[in-house]
Amino acid sequence: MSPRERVLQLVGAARRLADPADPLGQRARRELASTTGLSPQGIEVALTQCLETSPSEAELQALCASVSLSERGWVLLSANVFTAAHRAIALALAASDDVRVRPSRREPVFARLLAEAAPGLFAVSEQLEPQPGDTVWAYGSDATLAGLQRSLAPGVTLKAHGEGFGVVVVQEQDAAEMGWWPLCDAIVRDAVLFEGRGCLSPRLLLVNAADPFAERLSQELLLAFDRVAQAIPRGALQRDELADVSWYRECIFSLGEYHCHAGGSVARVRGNVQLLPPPGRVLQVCQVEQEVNTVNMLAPRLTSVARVGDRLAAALLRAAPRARHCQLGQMQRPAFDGPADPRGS
Amino acid sequence: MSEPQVLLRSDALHQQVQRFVNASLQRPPAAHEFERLALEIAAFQAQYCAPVGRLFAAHGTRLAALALLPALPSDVFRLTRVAVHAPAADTRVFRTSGTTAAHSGLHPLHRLDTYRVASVAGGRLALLGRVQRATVVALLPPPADVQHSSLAAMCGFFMDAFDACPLPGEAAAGACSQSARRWLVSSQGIDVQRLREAVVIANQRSEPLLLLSTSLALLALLQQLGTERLPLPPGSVVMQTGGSKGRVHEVDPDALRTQLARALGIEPSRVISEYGMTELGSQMYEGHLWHGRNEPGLYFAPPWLRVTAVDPVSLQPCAAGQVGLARFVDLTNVDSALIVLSHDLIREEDGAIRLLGRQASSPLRGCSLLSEALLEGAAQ
Repeated sequence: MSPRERVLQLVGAARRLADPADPLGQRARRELASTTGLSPQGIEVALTQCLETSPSEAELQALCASVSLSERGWVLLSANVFTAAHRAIALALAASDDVRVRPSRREPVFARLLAEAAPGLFAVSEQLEPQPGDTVWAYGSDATLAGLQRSLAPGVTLKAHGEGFGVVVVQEQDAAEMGWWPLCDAIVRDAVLFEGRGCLSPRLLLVNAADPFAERLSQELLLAFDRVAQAIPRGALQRDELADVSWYRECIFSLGEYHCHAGGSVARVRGNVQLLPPPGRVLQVCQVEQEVNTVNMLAPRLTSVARVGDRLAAALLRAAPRARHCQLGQMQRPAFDGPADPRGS
Repeated sequence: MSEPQVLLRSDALHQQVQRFVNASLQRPPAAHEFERLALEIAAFQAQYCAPVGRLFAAHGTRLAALALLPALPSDVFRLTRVAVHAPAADTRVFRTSGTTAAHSGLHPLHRLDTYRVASVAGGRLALLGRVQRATVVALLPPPADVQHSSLAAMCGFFMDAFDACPLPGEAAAGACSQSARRWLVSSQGIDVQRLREAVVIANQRSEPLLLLSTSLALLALLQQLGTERLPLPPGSVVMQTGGSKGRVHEVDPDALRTQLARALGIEPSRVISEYGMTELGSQMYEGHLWHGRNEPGLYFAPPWLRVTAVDPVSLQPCAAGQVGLARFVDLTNVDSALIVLSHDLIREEDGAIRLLGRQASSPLRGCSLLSEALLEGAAQ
């Protein structure tokens, strides 16, 4: 099989899991509830709207072109975004016809179901034994990836994707042009997917505006969280995530404002972009003087930049050339054209 | 209140704290004495230290009982200025180091003397025991090279307070910390020869040697010593502080203690660990000399520092024996934050504190692998 054919076979497997009428799709919905903590509606949205089941020919070609051929491919999977397994495995399949996948211990279901849906396409492995000539695709903290790099034998290629997050740039005229509800619903829809655990999840909203606008934005976001939670109820957070939320809340109390609704929480601070919100439907509105400059300052850590319209598009692209750039509401649906986080590619 | 008035109020509180420290060396303070002074400091900070004021306001805090007051997370020290006074009134600004945080935290001090009084009092109890004097050297760079290090400042205080005699070439006692001969780390590594000389001098004086160091510097010392044995005088103590979090090679404290005892000819119990944070003016120590309890990893707080374990999610006090985040109430933090919440996990054990590492943050913000999976995988 050619790389393209292998990737297409995997996409076919993903299509089965996305299909609620397919027995494997039904198992996915049942079993992912316990391993991800997401609500059934959260799983449904992820499977039907975030999982890439209909890539274009151009996307397939780009994805295959984004990797170098490898003797063998190893994939270490994350628990945070279960659908990310699909793209990670696709990249390895584009590079090699011998792919071994080590699923996350916390969320092993999705990779195993993909393997069932595409028998023989890749192997699920409990071990990581890369040999010279192999490629390892791994995602993690910078320190952890550095540790992994040191542990690998010479000749093993590590495709490491480190820490990162998404930002949204909002201007005053966006609210006037889109209306508060559509604007905030689009932002929040990106934020609630995977309970904000994704590397593409928006965490900071950069606004170059005075207090009244930032305050109104915060309030409208809270209302949007409540609206969206009607359709996609909150999932369960792990205890370490809940601890992070508590810690973050106390920090924000000391720095700015923190408002909590049933559907989500919004923090508002001036300037301070060093502190990132934890997972769990938390957004931080940062009042900054120069949003493009701030994006540029954050660029090494940015995976995704969302905006409204094309007013700032060129400037933002220059400010963070290695991040994905998109319109609001599209942050969790990047083209199937390579790694979700393109910084390490 | 104008800035001069704030500083006057600060000065008055500093004096009260210093009196508290000195008095508590004579007799254990009553709980209500601690509480009264703590609430007075908290009220001062609520009014003049903006982050503390905002935190209290967000919680709707009433300054009625110490247990009800919220703690400032230690991260806030790296996110904003935590001080009652303006930068112009800073005497020293200590900076965090050795952590994995992307940015340093700052702890600005209007007065240094309370830090000195409290740290010397605590150090005397924990490191000297019944001995009055010791020859003191540190495996640290000279303070001039690390002006923002609270640890170097504290070690300097110990040299000036505990060491009676100048070393050859030093001007006078009481200013020992000014001498480069006391600071045995440079860009070339550990100055083992100077350490040998200090051992000879301590032996001539019939004094113990107090060797102050970070764990990493002690590891370097052992490496430089190799197979050499450098027996310290009887009664000597090694104070080790600082973990190796975020470093490539973590230091196993038990192994380090054993190796040090062997190399320096002392009992393992005389390697005493100190726990300190730049964000705190007070320290905890293992209690071999202080409380007669030789249990590695079990720390004791001085009377002017209260440490409790709080649940990481609810931030409420843990049930007895449960593990939680360390919540410090430190009377010496007059001008910053009286109550500080740390990422360190602890368990309260019969009047002492068991340190259990750091709270792991949730998997990092995105497509992170669990580090244990990565490391296990890498090891295979």
